[in-house]
Amino acid sequence: MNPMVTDTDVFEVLDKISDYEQLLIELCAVIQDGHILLSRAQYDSGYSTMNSTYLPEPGLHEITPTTFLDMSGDDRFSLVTEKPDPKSGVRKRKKVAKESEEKKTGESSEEADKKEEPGPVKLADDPLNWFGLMAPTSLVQAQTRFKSAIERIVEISNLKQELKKCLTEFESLSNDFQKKCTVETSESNEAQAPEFDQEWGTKASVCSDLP
Amino acid sequence: MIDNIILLITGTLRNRPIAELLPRCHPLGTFDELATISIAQSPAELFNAVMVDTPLAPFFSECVQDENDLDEMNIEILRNKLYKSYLEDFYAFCESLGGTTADVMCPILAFEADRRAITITINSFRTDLLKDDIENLYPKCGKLFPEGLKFLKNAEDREEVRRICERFGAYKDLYTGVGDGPNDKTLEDKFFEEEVKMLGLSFEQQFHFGVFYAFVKLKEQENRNIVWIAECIAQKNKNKIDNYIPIF
Repeated sequence: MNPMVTDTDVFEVLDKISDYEQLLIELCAVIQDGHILLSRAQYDSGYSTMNSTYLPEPGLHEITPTTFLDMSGDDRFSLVTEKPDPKSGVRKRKKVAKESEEKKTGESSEEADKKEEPGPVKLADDPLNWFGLMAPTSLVQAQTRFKSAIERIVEISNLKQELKKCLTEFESLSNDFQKKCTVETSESNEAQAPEFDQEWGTKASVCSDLP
Repeated sequence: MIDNIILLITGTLRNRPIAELLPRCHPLGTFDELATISIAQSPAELFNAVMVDTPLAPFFSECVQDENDLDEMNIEILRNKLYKSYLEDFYAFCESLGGTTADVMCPILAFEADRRAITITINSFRTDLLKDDIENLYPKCGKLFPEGLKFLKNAEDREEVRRICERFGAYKDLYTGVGDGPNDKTLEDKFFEEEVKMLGLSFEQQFHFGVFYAFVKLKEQENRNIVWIAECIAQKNKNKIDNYIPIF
């Protein structure tokens, strides 16, 4: 037996697989609940106050995310409420240089026209307020469900990373163990199997001819 | 008509083309000047340019006093104030008709007014609306007027709203069976059930105009039920398919 992988390690992996399955089931249930609560909110408030007119559309509306994914942890994801710092400052400097060049050379008429066009409308940060100031209770509950769905997704990703790590470790240990077994076997086979003795073989055949 | 106006104003604020918004309007609430709502920037402009020749003109008098631009908060206040004015006016009209029509319609409209007051109170807990602003949105033709509305105005959470409702005989049983569990009903469900019951009873009386109102409202309830069943089928969530309000 390989002393590196113990029963405890195997049970830990099995527990993680069980947690992973459980989280997947919970995620499906929570998302399903969220969608049915959205439908209930439309049932309670009426179609005119809750329809796709109030949803944001790319290009027309600008929305600000309220939750961000932090991937700076050691192989773990986590949810944060503030946007992570931008990684490179060089990018920023280039933009500033471009802007100063534009100011020096003067703007073309096309750019002036572009600036006059209304930009995307900024919608409220809280998606509940997209449907009016006083959102119904079922909509608030739907939002709670979807928020918990995001938390579960992050947990699932983290568990999956851990499982992958454990299984990769098991695989490499298993490969090492197999290699070790193969080497030992070949060595022990070489020790046991005798070399063919030509003289003894000749004598044996002579003796076999005797009555 | 009120919902159509609010839909068009909100859609225009969000740069939606008017051609996309008009098909979403309720056909019963359309009027000729509906498409020109997009030009208005404030309630005063909306009134002077568009609403002055519509049946909603008398209800705009309170809203025109506010010279604020039409932003999200003001649109919500506009919607609720219009509805309040419409409900109070309708109640006064039914009362003036007298007879069986008044006997049938006034309790239905009073219930609608109280329902709006309770719903506005609960939904305003997570907003920044001032208590005086909230009180101005309560229709005053319900059974909760005046004492109940004063208590509702000062309510801080749902439990307090529940205690206020239980104090009034008409709504003592409103919260029975209401909860957050999977088998519990929501407050809105109880409101719909009570409304359907009252509208159904209106057909028990003869020679009054309340039957027309009841027919339209029950038809709307049927539409909601059908849409709900369709949503449950589309989402493969047949456990909740029976959570509609049966009518007869």
